[in-house]
Amino acid sequence: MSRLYRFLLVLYPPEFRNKYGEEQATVFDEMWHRTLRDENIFAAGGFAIRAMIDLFVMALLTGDGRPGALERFFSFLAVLFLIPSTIFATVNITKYNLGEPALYDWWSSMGIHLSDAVILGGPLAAMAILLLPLVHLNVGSTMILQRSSQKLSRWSIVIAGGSVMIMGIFIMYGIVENIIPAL
Amino acid sequence: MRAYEFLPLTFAVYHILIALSEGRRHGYGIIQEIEAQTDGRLRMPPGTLYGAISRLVERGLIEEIETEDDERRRYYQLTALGRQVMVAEAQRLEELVNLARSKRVLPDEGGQS
Repeated sequence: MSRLYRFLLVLYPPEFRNKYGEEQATVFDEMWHRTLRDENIFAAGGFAIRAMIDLFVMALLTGDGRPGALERFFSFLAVLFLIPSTIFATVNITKYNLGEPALYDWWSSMGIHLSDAVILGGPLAAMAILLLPLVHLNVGSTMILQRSSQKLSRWSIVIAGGSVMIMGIFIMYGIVENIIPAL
Repeated sequence: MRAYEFLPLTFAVYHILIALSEGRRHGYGIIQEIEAQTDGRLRMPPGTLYGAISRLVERGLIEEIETEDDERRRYYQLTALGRQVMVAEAQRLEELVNLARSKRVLPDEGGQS
């Protein structure tokens, strides 16, 4: 458990980690062993979970406006959600325009109706992942815009822009293919 | 910078300053003292503690001190400004409690409401 906590310290900005990381890990180690000795494994497990949630939140709040490791982690997670949607969108549009059955038809024939979830769910999840830390950071702050601009890294903006673009393409595609012909 | 400009303090910061009011302590010592002064109700996690310590050092309310007791640990103590801020916060809280007493929200010190 102490090794995992020590490893997670990588989420802090380097300056903080170099100055307080070793000491923070030592304190966790002492508290973990004391809880294990004085109480029981369940109490120690509860303490470890709380300490790690605390580490995540504090790593997010620590720093001077530059993107930290935790923010990069959120950006990476958002990209993972965007990848299936992007592949699906690209392949589907290409196949459709070549006159071949789209992936949607193939999936539907297999009895799977996940297309909508993949198409809009991916970008929406990516946006939510990127916005979640900002919402958390701005709770109790009166300087919402300033804090948001400080914490939005270039990567986050690119990924958020990509999410919006993919959603926009599909909404436009849906309008052109379904609503306009019906008119 | 004047003491009142730091007010109000957060719960964690106030407890850290109070824990250091009787002398220097290392990080784990601060956690133990806070547990003792709250009858075990507050067990401050290490992330919160060191996040607060880094801000307090940066703002000059506490300082690190060199010691040969234990090389693994860094000790912290209140600065003069830190002590002023702690006293100012205690006075602010006292005024709030007195206000509550004057409005009979709390019983007075003799126990009469």
